[in-house]
Order: sequence, then structure tokens, then C-alpha cells
Amino acid sequence: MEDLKLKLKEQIIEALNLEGMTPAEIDDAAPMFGEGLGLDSIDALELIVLLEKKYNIRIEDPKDGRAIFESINTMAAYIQSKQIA
Amino acid sequence: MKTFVQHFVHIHAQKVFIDGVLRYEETATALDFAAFIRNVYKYFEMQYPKFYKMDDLSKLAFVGAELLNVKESTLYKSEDKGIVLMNRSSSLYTDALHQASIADKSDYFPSPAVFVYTLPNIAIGELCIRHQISGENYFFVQSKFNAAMLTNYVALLFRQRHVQQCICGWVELNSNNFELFLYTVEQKSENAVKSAHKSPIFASLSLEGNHILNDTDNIEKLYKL
Amino acid sequence: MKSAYIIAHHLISALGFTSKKNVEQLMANQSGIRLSDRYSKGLELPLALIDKTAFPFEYKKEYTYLENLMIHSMEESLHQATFDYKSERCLCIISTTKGNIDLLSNEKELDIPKERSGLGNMAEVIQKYFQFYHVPMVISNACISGSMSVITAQRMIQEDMYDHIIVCGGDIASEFVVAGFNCLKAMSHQACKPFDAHRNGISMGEAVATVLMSHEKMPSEKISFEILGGAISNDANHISGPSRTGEGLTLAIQKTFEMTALNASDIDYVSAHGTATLYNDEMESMAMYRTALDKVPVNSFKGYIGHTLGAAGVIEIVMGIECMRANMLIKSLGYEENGVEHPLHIIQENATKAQTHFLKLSSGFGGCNAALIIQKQEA
Repeated sequence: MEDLKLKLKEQIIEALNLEGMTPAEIDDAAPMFGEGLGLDSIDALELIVLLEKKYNIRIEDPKDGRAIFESINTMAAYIQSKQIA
Repeated sequence: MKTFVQHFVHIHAQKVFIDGVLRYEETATALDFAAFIRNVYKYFEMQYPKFYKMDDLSKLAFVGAELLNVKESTLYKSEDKGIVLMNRSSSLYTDALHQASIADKSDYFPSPAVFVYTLPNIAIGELCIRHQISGENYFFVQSKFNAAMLTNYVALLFRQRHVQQCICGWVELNSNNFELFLYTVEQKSENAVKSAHKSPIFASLSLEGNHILNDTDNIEKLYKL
Repeated sequence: MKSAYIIAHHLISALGFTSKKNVEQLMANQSGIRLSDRYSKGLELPLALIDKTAFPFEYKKEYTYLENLMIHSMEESLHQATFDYKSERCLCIISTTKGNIDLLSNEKELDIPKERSGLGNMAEVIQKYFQFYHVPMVISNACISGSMSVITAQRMIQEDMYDHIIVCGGDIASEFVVAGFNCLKAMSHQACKPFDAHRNGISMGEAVATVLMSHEKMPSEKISFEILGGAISNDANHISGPSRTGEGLTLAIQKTFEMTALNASDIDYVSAHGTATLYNDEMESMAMYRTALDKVPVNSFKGYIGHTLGAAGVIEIVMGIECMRANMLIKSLGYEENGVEHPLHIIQENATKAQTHFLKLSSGFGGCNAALIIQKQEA
């Protein structure tokens, strides 16, 4: 799980052009949207593409993304649940 | 109605000029656009994390507009401020990135963050957000810098009172080169750059009390500076 | 100050190849939207496509698909008028978001150089074809380009910069735009449903629309249409998400009211942008509520012709004036149940109503908005 989270953070930094940010600076539990990383609606769509491209997981309704992308913890848990299933 | 050029910025051939004065020159040779614009951003100590998320055309426009240093912009209400830009290649540079992402059916991942920049006026949207400009905004495309079209239409916007301050100019980026020439126009002349302190090239401009009139001839000459 | 009139027009859309055919289809509530996977292999999406098997003109192979349509539409418009379009007093404005974007994909039209995907290049090709005196003004301002072009023409005629202006708006459907809107999760999977509770995105369309604008009315016509004025604004909020408060569009409407000395009670009918995305329709209804337009009959033409991008403003203005000429209010196709916070007076069935003033609204990516008012005058 820790490996997955680290990899995920690296992928997010790259996909969302979070210039100058390191994985260590991203708190596993902190909200990614609004206050935390300050991501917006285009970033949310970009995260949907990331899941599809790197993990072969499809999200059809962008509204479902809201709960999944709440934090690194929720996103990693979602990926793991899909990979086991 | 007379209007005046307040400040102007040129970015081309790895150099940055503000009001006709060279302010930055890239020393590294054959630097690509991404590296160059990032160096300019850092050199002038700009602070705007969203810069890194923009496409290249918006990055160029953003840096140019920052250097215009529109201090006087607080004098006007946001709805009285406008932007009129022009270029040759529209958003084709970013269009090619989006097209590449859908060219291979086995690796078909169009990116939302790329696609939203496949319109030239997105660069205007970025400047409007940054400088709180909510008035008239235009993106014209012409195969070369058309000073008459730009100047005549901006003059109309002032005459018909659609704007009181306007950021205007040429923001071109393609796979071979890039070029920015931005300037601000207002009716007032007191904030405008005074040509007397500047290089002799200003001697060829039509002036009123040392201030540069916003007319086609002047804009053409400034563009060629 | 001079006045600016629309004296002739010509439309090409999924509804047909003439203005007359388009208007007939509207009045009969026929939609041009069909499911197709032409631009999204393996995925059927609702598209409003021009029938390429039924061109009423000879296709010129040295011109692109879009150029062929634009040339035909402008020629058909110019046939209706007698002014000298090669004169210094005539300007052409081209409104497009993506122009010859199909040239970027390697599969197409190899005999035409890729440089023609440049909008300035395309404009010069059209200038040369018609021998226009001036290089056309190309406006590429996302989905408000069409409305903006008509506003721009009105302002220039008003100041006597030109006597006649040809406004041609055009955009074609392509894999480029379909894939793009699809990755934004903005494409509906059935025909779009503007302002409806179950709307879930746009239906992509393609169209070319031309209007001829003049400083004088057509002497032979009993009914004339004058562009009274319009305004353009920016949300200054987000590059792709419309403002939640409708601030920018509200500003454009208010400025238009100020300029024309009219208010909401003078407006007989509103042609909304109504793309049927969740956010656009919510924002637009908010702006109409804030400007007291929520009781005025409104529709969106997107259920008939899809979202035609740079052509949208031009084609929808023509549809609006033709409805006004017939004193008809046309059903907003796809609408069943209110789906916005501030309910609007959506036209649910065709109806007759005497009309004098019509308001056109447009909004687009980059946070831009436009509003304009057109007046019907009877001789």
C-alpha cells in the first residue's frame, strides 16, 4: 500500500504539472481539492485519465470521482479494491 | 478620441524588452520554448503556481502581461478593462499535442488538460483571471501582424466606451518560433511611458507631449523595434 | 450613427442546405441529431452532421470541406444582394473555432497542404476566391465567435467603417473535437436535453451560416432586422467551467440593455446558448434570473442542430430572426422537466406570439460571454 501511494503521488505530480512539489509534501490524508493541493475540475478529469491509463480502471461518471479523489488514501484504497476484484 | 500606449513588452529571439529596453537575455543557446519561458518567469520572480499548468501559448501571454506591469489597472473597474489579441497560428501548437494523443488507437488517451487549451482565447481567459478583467475580449487570427485591424478595432472599443483600458497585441507560438508584442492602451496619458527618456528610435513615432499615440503607424513601428 | 441590418442569409446544417429548409425543419420540430460512431470508433454518440451525400453544389477538390461549405454559403448569400462585395467598403468576417482542423489528421485530403489548418491562411484562400478588397477578419473566440462577429459587424457599420459586412461562421465535426469533449465527459449519450433535469452534455453539430449585414435595408423587403447592439464579457473565473453565479453573462446582458435602452420587459424571446451541460445551463439560467429574463419565452436550438461551435451564434441568430418574422416560438427540443435552480420559461410547444425584440446569448470556454438584441421593423 505504501509503495502504491508513493507511486501514485509521483504520477499525480507528473500528470497535473505540480511544479516543484515532491511526494513527501503530499499528505496521505489531506484533501486534494479545494484547500489541500488546490486541484480543480480539469485536474479531476485528468485523474480519471490517469486511472485509465496507468491502472486500467474506467470511471464513467465524473461525479463518482469526487469520493475516490478525496485524498491519496481514498484513491489508493480504490485502486487496490479494483485490482483485487 | 485620442488613446495612448502606456507600456509595451517584446519577447522574441530569447530576449525580453520592456518599454523598448532590454531587460533579459537568455545566455544558454538553443533553449526550447518551455525552458526559456520558465527562466523568464523565474528571473522576474513571478509567483503564480497555475503558470505551470498552462499550455505554451498561455504561458507566453501570461509572462508578457505580467511584465506590462499594469499597476494602473486598479483605476478601472474590471468590466471596463478589455483584452484584444491576435496571432497567426491560433492554438495549433497545442492542437497538435491533442491530435497526437488520439492518433494511435492502441494508445488513445486524450488529455482534458490539453484539450481545454485548444482554443486561442483560453490565453485571454488566463489573463482575465489573473488581472480581473471582465470586459470585452477578442482573439483575431491573421497570417501576419495586422496593426491596422488591431488598432482600428481597439480605437472603436474606446470610442464606443466598451473599454477604458485594454491589453492588446500579438502572441504567436508555433513549432519553430515564438514572438510576443503586448501593449496597454488608455485614454489618459499621465501614466504612459515617456519617450523622451528612451532610445532615439522614438523620434520616428508620432507623439503628443512625449506620449505615444495609439495609431496604426506607431504600433507598426513599435512592433518592429 | 448608422444602423446595421441583416439583409440576407444562408444556412447549412444537419437540417439542410438552405435557410428555408432549416427553418421548415425547425417549425416541424425535426431534429438533425442522429447516433453515429463516425468520429468515435466503437462508441455511438449523438451528432448533427451535414449530409455529405447531398451537396447541392460541385465540390471543389482544391478546397477543404469547410472551405467548400463556406464558399457555397457566401455565394448563395451574395446572390440575394446587389452590392459590390469586391469594394473597399465591404468586409468579410470569418467566425470559426477550429477551421480546417481535419487537415491535422493524416488520413485526410492530402492534396491540400497542412498549412491551411492555419485560420489566417484559410481566410486568404477565401479572400482570393471572392477577390475581396480586404483580408477577412477572423474571430476565434470559442463558442461566442459567431455572436461576437455579428456584434463586431454592427459596431463597424455603425461607425461607417464599412457599408457591407459578410459574416460567415463555420465549424465541422471532427474526431479532434469529439474526442476532446468526450474526455471532458461533456458529450451526451443521447440527443442533448438543454435545461432539462436529465441533461448530461452536448450533442456535437456542424454548420456553416452566412449573414449579410448592411447600412441600409433591402428596399424590396417589408420586414427588416436591425442589430441594435451587443456586449462581450469575461467571467475572469475559470478557463473551462462557467461561473457559478452567472456573473459574466449577467454583465453582458446588462450592458446590452444599457446600450439599447431596453430592458427585460421589452424582450419577446430569448435564444439561449443552452448547450445542455450541467454547468452551462445552470449558469445561463442564473444570469437570466438575475436580469429578470426568467419569465421571457426561451429556447435552445441545440436539440435541433447540436452544438455548432463557431457557427452557433450566426446560425442561431438567423433561426431567431426567422422565428420572429413568422411570429413563432419554437419548442425547445429535448426539454421535459425543469433542471435548473431558477426555472425559466422554456418554450414547450410551438406557439404564435407577436415579436419585436429578440435577445441572443452565447457563452464559451475561456470564460467569454456575449449578448445582443435584434429588432424586427415592419415597413
